Amino acid sequence: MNTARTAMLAVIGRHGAPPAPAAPPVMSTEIVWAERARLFTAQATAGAATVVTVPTGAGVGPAIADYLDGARLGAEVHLSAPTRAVAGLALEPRLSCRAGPVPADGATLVSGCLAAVAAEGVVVLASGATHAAQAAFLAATHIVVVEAGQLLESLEALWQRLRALPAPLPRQISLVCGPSRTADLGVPSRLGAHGPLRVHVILVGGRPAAR
Amino acid sequence: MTPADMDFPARSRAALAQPTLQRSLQGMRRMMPALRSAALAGLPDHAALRERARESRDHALEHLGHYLLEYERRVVAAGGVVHWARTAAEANDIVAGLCERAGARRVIKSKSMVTEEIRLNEALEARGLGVTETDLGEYIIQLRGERPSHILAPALHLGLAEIGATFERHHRRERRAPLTEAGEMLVEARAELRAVFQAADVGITGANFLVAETGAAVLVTNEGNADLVAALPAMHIVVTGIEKVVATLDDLGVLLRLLARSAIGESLSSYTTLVHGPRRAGDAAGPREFHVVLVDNGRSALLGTSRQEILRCIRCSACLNHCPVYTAIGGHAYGSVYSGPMGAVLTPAFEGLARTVDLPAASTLCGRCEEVCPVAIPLPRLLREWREDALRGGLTRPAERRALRLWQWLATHPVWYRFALGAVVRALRLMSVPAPGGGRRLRHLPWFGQGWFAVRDLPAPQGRTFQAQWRSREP
Repeated sequence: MNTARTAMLAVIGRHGAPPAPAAPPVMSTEIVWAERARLFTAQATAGAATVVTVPTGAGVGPAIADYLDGARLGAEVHLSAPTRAVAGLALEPRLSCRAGPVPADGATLVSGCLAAVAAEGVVVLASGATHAAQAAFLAATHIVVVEAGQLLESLEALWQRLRALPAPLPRQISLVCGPSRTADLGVPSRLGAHGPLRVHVILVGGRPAAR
Repeated sequence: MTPADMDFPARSRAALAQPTLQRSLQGMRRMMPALRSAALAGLPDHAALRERARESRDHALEHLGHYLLEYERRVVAAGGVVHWARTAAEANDIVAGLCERAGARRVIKSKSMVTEEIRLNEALEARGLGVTETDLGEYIIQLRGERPSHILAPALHLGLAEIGATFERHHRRERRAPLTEAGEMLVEARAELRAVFQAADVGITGANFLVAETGAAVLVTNEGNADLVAALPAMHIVVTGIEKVVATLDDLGVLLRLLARSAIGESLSSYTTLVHGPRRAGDAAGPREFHVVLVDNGRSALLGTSRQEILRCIRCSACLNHCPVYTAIGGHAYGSVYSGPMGAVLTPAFEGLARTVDLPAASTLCGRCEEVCPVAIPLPRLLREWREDALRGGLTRPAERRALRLWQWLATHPVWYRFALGAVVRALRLMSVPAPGGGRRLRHLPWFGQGWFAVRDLPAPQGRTFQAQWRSREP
């Protein structure tokens, strides 16, 4: 047996050297993100939300402006929970950004989020210093910007993310899967019962530059 | 005569004669089972998920004291207060006391069956507080002074014409034409309630779940009204049953996956919100005070008994939507807050069997309720237990007892049983008529059969009994 071993290793020879230390091969983040984005879009659309994807944060402003133009909703938006891409909107020439609380009905809110869950098609909003929970319910149109690293696979991944936050958790954490609706006036359900009539999600990602 | 004065048979007859209710129930029978099946078919392993859901509810109930204390600890750490109420009266006193201490005048609520159960609105109104329900269905029935007819769709018994007339009577605005279109009604209700939201001093919600791990009260709605009730007023009070607690966020995830699919055939409701305590220092907004009232009101008496399993219920309403009795008569006929199979099990426990003896009897025991229950509550078994209790306690009607004794005698005398059954089968066959779709059906019967056939028919017997066919089968 030892003879065979020696003979074989003599042939294999130079292939026997240990490898240089390197990271194990991982699935490309773009592929993982794209799969999640596809699932998220299918689920959120089933919940009557609309979804677009943009490759980098720079695409968010034009995407919002296009959406508002298409739906004839004006250019005025209120910003809340400003993640990097949302904060950058102040520089978007086609939008007129307002600070402060969301006023009367009819307003458009643009917010960042804590996370989004692909399997359920929900965006997750958390109240805090830069986001009043009611803003997402008083607005008539809510546009949510989801950054690449925020798109999670499942509710279980969301729970892990919540567990990583310092206790106590934010006062109000909402999983939102579409516009407000009611079936109390018969079938089919009607949109805009108390909260928004329109929920539009912008998924940022797919290119390394988004990180 | 008001429904409260009628007995169950009288209320059922009244329900069968209501065309609007019957149209809604017909729609429910046609749509809800298909919607639920389609939604659950999208899950990779529904049976395993259901088993996991049952386990997580059982686990929480087996260790209820532990998890309630754990939940309380988390709420207190987040700056909230937990109150414990043994009875409806205690719960109402706690809530009214909190409102009075806050100097509140206007209270807004999101839909909560527990507050219906303890009649919180009446208690608050008796102390001079104005209470407005904000779930659209609850709002409509509140304007009309009615009770919910379904645990999720409280205004199920009303048609658009009735809702329009109700709004015209209660909403002060100039009209050029009658209110007939659902979209207009929604716009009007939204505007009316926006003003109420902004002016409220206290917001009261129920909770679909309490999560011991984080101290979350979980609010599930499609309208988003619970979120506004929780966010806008200076004080938020959660009123909920002690059985709503689950151990961890993972348990919550399991139950959320089943709740909306079982209830409305969708993967999740529009809004699922986890509330932790009052606003934090530095928060942009939110209530400054947060209270949770844990209501027992008869629940703890079920722990450790054969009826504990009903406490697993997550109020999805699948058992109502699939029940041949509920979908024939609707919720008001039950005369209780909880209707359908889960209501027929729960109500005798809360209100006493003597007053509610007809409810467990209002079931064909067909077993669909247990089949569709996301937490596998053995509802037919629990209904039978109440029936046995009723018989033992002498609460059943004399005619029913005599009929059961006759049946018992027949069933234990095989010769007479075969003779009687053979005669009945032949007689029924003779009385049947040809049906349009082929075969024969029974349309009328004399004597006590008249009541049964007034609203339904039956396929006619084939002509021979099962026993006769069994004896003559090919070896």
